Amino acid sequence: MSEVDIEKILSYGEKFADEVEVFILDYTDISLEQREMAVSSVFEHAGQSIYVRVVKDNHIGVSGTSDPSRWKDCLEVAISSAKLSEPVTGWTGFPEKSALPKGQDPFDAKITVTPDLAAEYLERMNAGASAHPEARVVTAEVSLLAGVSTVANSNGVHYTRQMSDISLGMDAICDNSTGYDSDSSPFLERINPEKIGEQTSFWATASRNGVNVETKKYDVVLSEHAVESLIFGLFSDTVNGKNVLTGKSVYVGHLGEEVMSPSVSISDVPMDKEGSAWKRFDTEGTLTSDVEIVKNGVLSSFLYDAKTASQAKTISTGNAHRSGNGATYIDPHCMRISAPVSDVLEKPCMYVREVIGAHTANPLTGEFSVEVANAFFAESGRFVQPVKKAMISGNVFDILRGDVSISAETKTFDNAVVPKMRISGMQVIG
Amino acid sequence: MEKIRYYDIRYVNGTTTSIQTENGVIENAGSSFFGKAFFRVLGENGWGYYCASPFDMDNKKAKEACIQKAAVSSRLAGVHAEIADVPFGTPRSWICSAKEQAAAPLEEKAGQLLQLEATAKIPEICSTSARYSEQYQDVIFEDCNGYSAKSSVCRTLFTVSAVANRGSDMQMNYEQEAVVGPLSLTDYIPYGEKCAKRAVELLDASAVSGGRMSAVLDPAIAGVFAHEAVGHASEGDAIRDGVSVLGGKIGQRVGSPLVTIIDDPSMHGYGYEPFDAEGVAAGPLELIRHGIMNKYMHSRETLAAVGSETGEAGHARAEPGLPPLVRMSNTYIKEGDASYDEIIAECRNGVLLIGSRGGQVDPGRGAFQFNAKYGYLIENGETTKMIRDVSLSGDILSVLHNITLCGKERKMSSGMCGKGQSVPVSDGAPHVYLTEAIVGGGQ
Repeated sequence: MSEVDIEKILSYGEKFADEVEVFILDYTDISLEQREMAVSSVFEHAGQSIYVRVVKDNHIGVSGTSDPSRWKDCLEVAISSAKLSEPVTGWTGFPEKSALPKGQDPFDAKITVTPDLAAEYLERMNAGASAHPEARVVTAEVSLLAGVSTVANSNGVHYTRQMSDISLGMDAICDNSTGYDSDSSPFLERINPEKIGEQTSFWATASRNGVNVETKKYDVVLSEHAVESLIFGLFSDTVNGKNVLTGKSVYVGHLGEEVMSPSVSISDVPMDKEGSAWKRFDTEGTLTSDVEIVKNGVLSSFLYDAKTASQAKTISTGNAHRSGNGATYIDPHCMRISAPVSDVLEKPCMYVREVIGAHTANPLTGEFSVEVANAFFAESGRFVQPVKKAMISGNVFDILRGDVSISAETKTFDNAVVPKMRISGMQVIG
Repeated sequence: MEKIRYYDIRYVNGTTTSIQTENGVIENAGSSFFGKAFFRVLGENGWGYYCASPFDMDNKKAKEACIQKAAVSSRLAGVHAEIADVPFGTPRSWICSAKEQAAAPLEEKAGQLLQLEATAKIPEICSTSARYSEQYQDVIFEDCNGYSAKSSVCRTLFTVSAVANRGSDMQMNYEQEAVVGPLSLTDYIPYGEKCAKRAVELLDASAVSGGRMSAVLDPAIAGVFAHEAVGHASEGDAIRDGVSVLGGKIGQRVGSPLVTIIDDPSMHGYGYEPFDAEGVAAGPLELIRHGIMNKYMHSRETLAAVGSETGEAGHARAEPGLPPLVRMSNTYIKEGDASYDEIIAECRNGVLLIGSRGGQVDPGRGAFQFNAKYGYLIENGETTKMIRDVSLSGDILSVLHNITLCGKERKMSSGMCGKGQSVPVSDGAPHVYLTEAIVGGGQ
């Protein structure tokens, strides 16, 4: 791996630009894929990416490459790019150097990027899957990653973050009934491979012999997976500062207004202990802090990076992430919802473990109609009967305005800690 | 030294240039570039992979070292694999490197994109944006038997989107064109207005009441059906792993005799490949012929595993630096002989679904779902009210049997297909009439 002289890039860049920023990602990873209950392939990778941003007269330019030896080319492209871009209204500059708050990086030294560790977790997933022997495990995968990201700019910021990650996934089939489960975490002890295996084979076996459903309204409980993909995914887009600035959000002009049930609050909590983000600073070097997005139903804040915050005449909320070409995009670090907590499966309902096509929901209006998978009629906390096939339809914003309750138990995803959600009177098409 | 039964190297050197405009100004513009070498070694008991980035393909010592790294990894595998011995064919040499496109100044393209976006500024449109990108990829493929192939492909695309606003109601539409080779933005200036008009029309569209009904699919959404529902279920890895409802059905009737579905990496569509990620140049493959399951798409490994009589290799594709997977390229339903008017009249009462907002399939269960951009009610054999937020779901085999008319004219649409990795594809169809479909809507 090449050593990159960050100070050299910054000082060279300052000859041509008012501000310079370098973001570097160094990582090694290994993936073991399983087929026929044995390792079918082993993939090792060591990578480095370097992204350069420059600001000249409030014009921002960006470039990126996987070849650090070409940093000068990268810088030149970024400078050319800045000449073409429109100046950023109200640009307040890249972040200044600050004292970093105390806190741990999302890093666990126990996650070693070795085939032995990956193989151990594959075996443990398989052991868990054997709890439901009628299911056939089709494929499984374990990936391990360790790396360091560095952000530095000509205003004195120079922060590094250590990262680690373990990701597991498994899928199984039983008489044309499929099951899938996955999990990932920066911390080894949070991963329960046996449970992932057991759940995968459970969903495949339990979903067999489903019944047809009548088209009508049902009380529906969405699993943590379904809430994350359908509700949180769309809500994140709606409070994205860029979408708000460009008029692509129904929440434009509604700051301070009630947009949800007063019993619902949604926050972004970057250092949430149960979350996976653990970010003290974002990918631009802005220090993060908790953001109350919706408080007691009232829209309180949008999420911004440095550029969109300047344009909106506010300050960055520290929600810059980095895309493949080096440009920033806005996303929550660890979204949290609070709402009335109940035993959501106690009263009769249709439980939906997965939805197929969550990404086809209308990001502006919130309308969706998606196919369900691994769905069940449930009561008294038990699955009574699997559902053969159905679609659910509704509107994400109407759901959040209505009568929802959530479970006490949650599941941690990359950028959210998510409960189950009970929704009254959802349209089900059988 | 590790035992190596086979190895190959796929090196991709690429540059992507993009321009993004928002509400009449250039939001950002620039390039990123990379070089990635993917080494694949088949050892005694399976595959070992290694990715090096950056990499110098002239450095023989480095090549040898990376092959050994992949070989060491392969020793850890425990699933014996074979690769079928297939003819490589002749790598296609369609000149699509688009040198003129690359040479044109970025400022000129940015100006054209702004012009295109500006045509979307019509009354009731509150927000517009446009994106242009050109991606150049030079590929070098080499294997341990001395075979090598090179290609150079340029892909260009633009997207324009418009948001319409009336009171508290908002609706969005987008139009996209993506091609292999050069694309002149000046030819597409009116697309902005076309996109915006549709967004405004959607403000007056109604939500549809879901349920089982007859449906007519336009070429875009019927093409998504061909891709999502049939194509993914015909991929050799799904067949090998026993997770496709089309598995084991070669020679059996799986749909109406009107249905012929083809995948063709040699077609000059967005999914064009001069040769696949294993160096094999493939041509058109009939997956379903007149309703009978005919062939599966294969990599060399899945062809060996499932049987050479079940399909053809040449359908392995990969993102730069990642392992080959069995994938589609340009997939379409073949034309029939019905006119559009005949199809609408035959449907009599149902819905016409137009355009695609994407979809997803579970090939093991045979279930699929995709959303239309919009549609129309069909009442008494005529299209009437515009509808929005409408989706289609079903099980693959039922829908294939429910196709009773196919139109005369086929159109292709371009996009990206995600299956762990994202690759460019196109899909298409003529208008298709389904006697029964499950339609989802917000009412």
